[in-house]
Amino acid sequence: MGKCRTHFIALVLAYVHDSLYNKSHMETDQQLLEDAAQGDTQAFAVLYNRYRDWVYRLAWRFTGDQDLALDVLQETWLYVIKKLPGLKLTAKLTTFLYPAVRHLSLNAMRAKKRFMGGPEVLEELPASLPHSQKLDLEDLAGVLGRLPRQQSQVMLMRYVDDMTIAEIAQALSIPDGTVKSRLHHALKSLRHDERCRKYFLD
Amino acid sequence: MNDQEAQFDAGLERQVSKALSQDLKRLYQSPGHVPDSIDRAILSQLPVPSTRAYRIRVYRTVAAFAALIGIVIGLLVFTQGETNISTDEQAQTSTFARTDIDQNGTVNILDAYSLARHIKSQQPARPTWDLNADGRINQADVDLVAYTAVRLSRRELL
Repeated sequence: MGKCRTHFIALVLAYVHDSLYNKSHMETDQQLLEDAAQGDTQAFAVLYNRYRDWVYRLAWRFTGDQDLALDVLQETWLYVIKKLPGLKLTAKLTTFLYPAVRHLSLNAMRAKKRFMGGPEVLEELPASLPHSQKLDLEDLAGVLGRLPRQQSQVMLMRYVDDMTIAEIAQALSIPDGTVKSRLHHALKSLRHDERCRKYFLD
Repeated sequence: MNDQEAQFDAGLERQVSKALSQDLKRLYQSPGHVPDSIDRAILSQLPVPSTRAYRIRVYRTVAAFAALIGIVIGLLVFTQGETNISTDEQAQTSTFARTDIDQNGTVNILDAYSLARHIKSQQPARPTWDLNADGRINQADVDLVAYTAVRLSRRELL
């Protein structure tokens, strides 16, 4: 009985300590942003770890260069830090991060003299995969490469970044209907292509 | 896009297997992990907290400690109270067992009478009858049994 009581007290103390000092992974992006704006480094670290890989993957997709992607990753978070005071989210942080990453990737490409066109031809490049995987996925890459850029962009946001229709619409500043329409046309193209038929249930 | 198209769009999406997402993620996976040095560089960029923010954190810490101390004291008082009651109950049970001389399950004036008769007859007595622990079984122990018999127990009072 005495042992149980001691154990219970220890549990209560641990819970109180955790709830006061450890940032929960359940806290919303907005709560973490507000805490980070007050200089809470732990809140910022939770937020950073939550979206670091997402930002890096997206930057890599836009630039196709590991060093540039890392530069974009750093610049994106510096941008977030600058915007921290008073930053109000109306959706997930990804809707705020996506245009930032895209814009910074474009700038990075321009700075390296690798990019010659405007933002409308910014291509999202597939990863350099091992040869065996490349053979396996080259059909998908080929079909995707032939889609209009706006359609493939929405496809990737939906199926690679796991964003909802509303989040995609907000990130691209376009109506929900436009996102649905682009996604619909992209899926239709994929479905009509023999090489991608396997991705559809019937 | 009209309603009919939107419905068809949702239907088309439902027909997409998980393999599409998995293969696209493989196709567009990042080249590796972010180095620790980059993590440190980014995390160190957060500005030092302002004085106001610092003050709020100090207040929060003090409040947290006060709450913790309150909880600990509360639990200790609660625990101590239970222990005392438990000790009292144990003592009461033990005294009851020892003063029930005739072992009939009740302590009354007949137990005192039985003990008095034992002493008078000089028959061998049980060591447990030395209720006042003075090394002798005599009239003082009889008085103690009598006192126990007439005393209202704590439970009866409650």
